[in-house]
Formats: sequence, structure tokens, C-alpha cells
Amino acid sequence: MTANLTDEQLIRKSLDGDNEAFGEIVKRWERKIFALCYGMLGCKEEALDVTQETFMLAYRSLQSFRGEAKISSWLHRIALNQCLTKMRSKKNSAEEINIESEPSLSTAASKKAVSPPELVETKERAELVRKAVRSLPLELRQVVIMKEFEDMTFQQIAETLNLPVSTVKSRLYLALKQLKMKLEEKISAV
Amino acid sequence: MKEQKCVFSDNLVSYIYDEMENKDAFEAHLTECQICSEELEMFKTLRVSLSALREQVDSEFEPISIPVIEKPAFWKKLLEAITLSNPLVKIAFASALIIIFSLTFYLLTLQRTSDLGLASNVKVDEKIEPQRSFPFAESKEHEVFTKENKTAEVKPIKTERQTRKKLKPSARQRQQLNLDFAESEEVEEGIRLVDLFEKVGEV
Repeated sequence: MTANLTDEQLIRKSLDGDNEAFGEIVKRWERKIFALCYGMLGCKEEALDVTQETFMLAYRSLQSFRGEAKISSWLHRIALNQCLTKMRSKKNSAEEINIESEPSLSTAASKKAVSPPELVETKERAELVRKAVRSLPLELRQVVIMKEFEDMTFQQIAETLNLPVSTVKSRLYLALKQLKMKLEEKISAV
Repeated sequence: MKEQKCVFSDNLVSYIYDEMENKDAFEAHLTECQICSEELEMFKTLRVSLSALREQVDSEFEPISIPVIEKPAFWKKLLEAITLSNPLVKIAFASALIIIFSLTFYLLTLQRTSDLGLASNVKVDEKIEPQRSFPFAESKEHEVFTKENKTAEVKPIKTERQTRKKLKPSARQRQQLNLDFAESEEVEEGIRLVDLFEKVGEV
């Protein structure tokens, strides 16, 4: 019944006290929100906790949802804020690497014909990528995660983060370049 | 050493993620620009690595369980608010309840009395009497033309009760009448039957 309804219709039903409608919203978005949380936090358990907290918080603040933004953007924003809170509480942000202070890797290193998929096994490779993603600054990390793990369009990312599309594109470009460098560093260190 | 960057580098991401409108023009640029073509290859390789992490994320996903959150009913909320409140609020609430119950009881009692016709006889009479005393109340037969050729409404005939009420002497009047009755000579003659018989006997 609720599967055919739009997100907005589901929200209206949820506001009328229909728990099944909110359950459908959870079912639709939990995977994406989990991916975002996993990418941001880098830990499965924490990601699951934050995903749950996100939906709980969304349910509690349904009344305040004015419908100006899309439900997906709203949920993503809640999830991002929850992730930041979690990271602050654990002081995980200390692990972040400041791009400005980061010594730029030599062009020679980037030109090394290193092909990560050929060097490491899938799991190890995934672990390396995870660490590399985690080491990205927050504003670059969230763009990469939304694009790569959630298949969001530039427009959707821009709406979620309240940024111009051009900024999203340039951030993604920068993030991919940084990621590539970090991966090569890690692979060469292995 | 500053890294080389093409002016179209930012468009590269749109091309990789298939969100470019004018693909042909950019592909033409790629054949000419070595920086962009190298970056394109680099990003493609990177995306393969990222897909490994993506698979891991997908495999580790577990559907979350949101506890059923039922919105508490109004009376439950109220009860909770009262039980958690301070004693003064509790007393105020109890007083309010008593007042409400008393008022309700009083009003119900009043209603029942009126239903039995004990309290508002007048109302009942007023409802019925006009029909009995003035059956054409609804018709226009009671309208007459005055000298000024204007329609004037005839004053409704007094109800039987009102008439009876008016005819019925008040207590004071009754007292006065009794006094008159006692003092009146005619009445005195009428009452004194012995005198009457004496008169008849004489006749």
C-alpha cells in the first residue's frame, strides 16, 4: 500500500500517526543513510547506531519538517549532523588531514603506474580505500561519499549541502585527486 | 611545484559521472588535452578502487530496527503530565475535577427536574396555552384595519391561566373580602338561617 506513495505523501501520513508510512521511509533511505554514515565514520557499528539515531530524530521532528527541502536532503542533513556530533564526541576529527598543510605529493608519485586493484586483494583494497576516504577533510569526504556510495546527482548533493553545483563539482574533483594521492602513498607503503 | 590543471578540469567529474550535456565537445577536448586525458584515466582507476569499498559497505549493511513509536493518547499525556507535576498542580487538577463533576451533576439534576415538569411549569403552559386560547394565532384573522389604514396586530388574548390568575384574589384581597363579608349586613342576613326561618314562619 505505502510502497507506491511518494516521500511527501508518506510524510503526511506519518504526521497523521501512520507508523507504517514512516517505516516505508526508513526502508527507502536506510541503506543510503548507512552508506553516508559508514563513509563518514568508517565503522560499521557506529554507522548503524547513527543511522538509527537519524531516523529516530527525524521521526521526533516530523512536525518541524516544512517540506521546503526534499525528504532525502533533510535526512542526509540530519545524518551528517549526527555524524559530526559523534565524531566530535570521539574526537575523531584529529585524524583528519588538513589539505593546506599536507605536503603536495610529487607529480612523479602520481605518475607511477600503480594499479591498486592489481596489487591488493579486494578486502585489503577496500580497507585501504576506507582509510584514504577517512583521511579526507570533511567537506571533501561528504561529497565523495554522496557521489560514490549513494549515486546522488550533483544537483542533489548541492541541495543537501546548500552549495552551488559548481562548488560541488570542484570539491569532488579535488577530493578525487587527494584520494588518488593518498591511495598511492598507502599502496607504496605496503 | 605547482600541479598542472586544465581550465576544463572541473568538467572532468561531470564527464566521469555521466552528467555532462555536451559530451561530444568534451571528448573532442580530451583528444587534444593530455592533462585531462591523464586525469580521466587516473579517476577511472580510482573509481574501481572505490567500488571495492562500496561493495564492502553494501555487504555490511544491516536493516535497522526502529522501535515502534506510538504517539501517546491525549489522556495518557495528561496523566503523565499530572503524575510528574508538583503537588500544587495535582491539587489544582483535583479541585478542577471536583468542580466539573459538581457542575455536571447539578446541571443534570436541573435537566431531569425540568423534564418532569416540576421546575418550569410556566414554560409548558406558555407553550400549550396559546393554541388553546387562541386557535388562530398563526392565521391573520386577528389582524384588523385601523383608521389610519394600517395593519395592527390584535393583542393576544390572555391565557386562561393568566385570566385565572388575575381573577384569583391575592391573599390580601382575600383577607379584605373576608372582612367585608363578615361586616356586610346582607351577607350576615344570608348566613343567619335561623332568622330566615323565623321570617318564613311569620309568613
